[in-house]
Parts: sequence; C-alpha cells; structure tokens
Amino acid sequence: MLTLNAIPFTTGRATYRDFDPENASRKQGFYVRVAFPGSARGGVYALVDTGTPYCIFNTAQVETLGLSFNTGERIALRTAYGPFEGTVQRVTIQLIAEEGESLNIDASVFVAQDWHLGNFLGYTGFLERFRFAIDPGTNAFYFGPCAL
Amino acid sequence: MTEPVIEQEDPELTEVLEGVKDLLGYGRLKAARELLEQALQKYPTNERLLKLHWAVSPGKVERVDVRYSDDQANVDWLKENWKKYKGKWVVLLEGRVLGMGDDPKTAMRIAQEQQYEGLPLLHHLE
Repeated sequence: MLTLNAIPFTTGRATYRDFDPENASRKQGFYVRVAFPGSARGGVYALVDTGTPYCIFNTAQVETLGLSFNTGERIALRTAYGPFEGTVQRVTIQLIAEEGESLNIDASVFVAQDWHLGNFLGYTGFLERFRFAIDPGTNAFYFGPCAL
Repeated sequence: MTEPVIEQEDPELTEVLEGVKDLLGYGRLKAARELLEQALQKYPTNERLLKLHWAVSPGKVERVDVRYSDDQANVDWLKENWKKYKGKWVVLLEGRVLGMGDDPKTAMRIAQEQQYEGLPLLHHLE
C-alpha cells in the first residue's frame, strides 16, 4: 500500500475504470466498484464526482437495497438536470479492495424518487471522509481511513 | 401532549427545518449540519432534527479484511454484450451471467437461485 514519509497512507487498492461500464457513450470519468455491506446484492460501478455533494444511485438499484425515498424529510435537490425530489439517508458503502483491505464508509446518500442518470459518489457526503489517491498509469485507486 | 409535538408546532423550529432542507437542496451539507447542531442545542430531543443530523454526519470509516478479484472478466463481458442485451439488468460473476431481467430485482432473484462465492456485479445495460 502507499506510504507518505514512511508512514502508511492507504490500506486498500482497486482498479478504476475510466469509462462507464454501463454505457460507453456516457460521460468519461473515474468509476469505482462499491458494495453495500449487509446486503446480499451485488457490487455496482459509480462515478467519483467531486462536484456532487451526495452519493446518488439509480432508483431501481436503491430499491433492491430496501431503501425508500419516503423515509425522512423530503428535499428538492437542485441539479444541472433540474430538481429531483428525495431524502437524505445514511448508508454504509463499501469500497471494494482487490489488494489490502476494503473500507466501509458511512455515507450521506440522496435517495431520489426517480433518478436514472447513473451512480455517483459525491464529495461532502462521502469522498472527504477518507484518503484516496489514483495512479492513471495503472488505473489504480488507493484508499484508506484518514487516521491510521 | 408530548414534548416533540410541542416542538413541531414551534414556528422557529419550522423555520430551522425549512432552512436545513433548503441548504440540503443546494447540497450544502456542512452548513446544514452546523444549523442542525445549533438547533439541537435548543431542541435536543426533536426526532426530525436528530434524523437529519444523523443522515448528514460523517459517521464511521472502518477497515474490513475483505477483498475481491479484479473485475476485468465482467467488464469484458459488458463491452462485448451491452448492445445485444441493451435495456436488461444483468448479474455477472467472473464473466459468467448469473441472472438477467428487465429489472434488478428479477436479475438478482435469478442469480440468488444459484450457488456462488464472491461478489457479483449488478449492472444495467443502458
């Protein structure tokens, strides 16, 4: 794993994809595989998006996790695609390691009533809660907790 | 009358909740969290404030001794087949189709009827 000044910096490594495996014609970016601990469901790819505050997943996928947009205070999220109604919920998301250790992170997820624009891992509700680094030469995504 | 009901009728509380929801609508989680923390000093048992605060607080980050294999075989399958099965939901494990359907529940149900080890990939072929 990575070290910084001889001190461990990250604890896990995964491969990221620089296209959306769901739809090659969609936005190019930086997609990582995540799962939902405690759920028997499979992993999914999501775009690492520092311009998005929350994690958001396609409504059909969220429903398979047993999450409902009806749970909590209704909020109208303003996006570049227009407003979306939903609720903010705490969900544990697992960053899947291929080497080292995976990481379970409590995330703020916007559970939208009707979202079909792909899966996103947002900044304030997720990405700023752990360390990460990328190596574009090998498509490696390194991650670890802030305190090691 | 219980205390939370009295709090919900408080116009100041209503104003705070609307303010928090407005901030969350603009994605301003930190500002919303700060406003909630101020409000919780005055209304420490209010369920609506507590639930919102729970949802936007950082929570835990835990290392888990779990790892899965490289997903390359699944990605290769998707590249080869996404046009053929466009619109379907598919569950893949090491390049093998475990389940497929018009919605994720159907695809997962079919996959779970089989025995497998590992973490499958649930995917929508758009």
